[in-house]
Amino acid sequence: MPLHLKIITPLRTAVEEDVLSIRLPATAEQLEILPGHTALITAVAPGELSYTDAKHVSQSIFVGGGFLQVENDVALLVTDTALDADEVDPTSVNAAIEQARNRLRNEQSVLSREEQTRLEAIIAKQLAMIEYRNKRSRTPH
Amino acid sequence: MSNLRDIKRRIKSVRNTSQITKAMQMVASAKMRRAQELALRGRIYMSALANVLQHLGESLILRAGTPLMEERTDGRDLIIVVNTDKGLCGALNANLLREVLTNAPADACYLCIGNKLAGSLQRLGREVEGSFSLSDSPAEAELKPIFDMIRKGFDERRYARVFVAYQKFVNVMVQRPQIVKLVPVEPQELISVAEQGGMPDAPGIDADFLLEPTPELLLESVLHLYVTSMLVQLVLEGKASEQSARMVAMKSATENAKTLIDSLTLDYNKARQSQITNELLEITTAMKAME
Repeated sequence: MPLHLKIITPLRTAVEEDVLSIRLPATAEQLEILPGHTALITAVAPGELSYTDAKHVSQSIFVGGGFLQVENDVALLVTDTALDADEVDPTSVNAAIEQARNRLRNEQSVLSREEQTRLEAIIAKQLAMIEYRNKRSRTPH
Repeated sequence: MSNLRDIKRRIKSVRNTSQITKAMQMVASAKMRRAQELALRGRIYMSALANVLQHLGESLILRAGTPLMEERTDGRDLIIVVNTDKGLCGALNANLLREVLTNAPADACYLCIGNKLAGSLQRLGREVEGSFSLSDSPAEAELKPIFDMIRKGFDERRYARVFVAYQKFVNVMVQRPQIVKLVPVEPQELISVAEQGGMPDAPGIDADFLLEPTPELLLESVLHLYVTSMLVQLVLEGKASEQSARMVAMKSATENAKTLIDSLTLDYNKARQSQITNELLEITTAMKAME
């Protein structure tokens, strides 16, 4: 029985198909999900999610932070972003990193602890996005 | 003669008004398509989140430990009223106000998203704590100050419950005023949100979930995400309703203008015709007199 993968963002249902396996970045380590996995809810870090589809072809997609729920061979990933490699726009990513860094540097004294963490999370996510793009554009699939 | 000129002037002014309403209708319908899309897609996302959160809550029974899920008796109710910044959208705001006045607890305080109803609520003697206006497709960052305010008030035990009053987008013609509870989050509501977006719970499965990194961290962050996304979603619904209502209102205004122009043109033609008849009559009478 194959695993059913659903990736849902506020803007779209990015992926909805039967797959053979999923590999994704959980907060602590890389996680591999195969059919018959035990019920699980875990936090997901920004990074590359790859899966093998029903035709044994490896696919990949960038996901922002979120949560994964595996239950009864249905993997449901709720995330804020899901992008293919060619959808990542390096200019806007760099601009976002630059903006967040500037705020961290210039307003360090006025930013609340919470705000700083949020900015750092933005930077981490954008960096992961760039890394994903570079990796994918070198090895076209 | 003066009558003719008057009618002509009125036709012209009505035509100008109809051009404006027509333009507003087009703008609203363009905005509506986008707002509607965002609202409908957001529902799927919310239902997925609700589904995860519900499972999390079931396997945790930690409810008393997290403030956002805790039932309270002390403190007041806060009602966030999602109304519009601009008028000309039919009875949208009036209906929402009526819903709030009939169904909201009497001693509640209010927070307005959109400027239109803040004044009315104040005039009715309700305590309005603030009013925000947002862009047409608000992102989470724009709602952050509002969320921070709610969170702070909730943590300080000033608020017992937080409700959101908004216009639920049903379709272009129908928007339904509703009041829903934002916090504390209740399991029953999670189930109904999950079902609305087509993500019903699989029956008969009582899975014992493996939770990572730790149950407490997970619950706290999912809950936080759920409440913020819920607020964003409700605002998006409000925006979709606003644009639809405005489009419909402007469409009927344009149509009314058209009927008015038609009947005025008829009057104008009648008046013109009778004037011509009169002139002819005068000429023939004069000719007869001269014979």
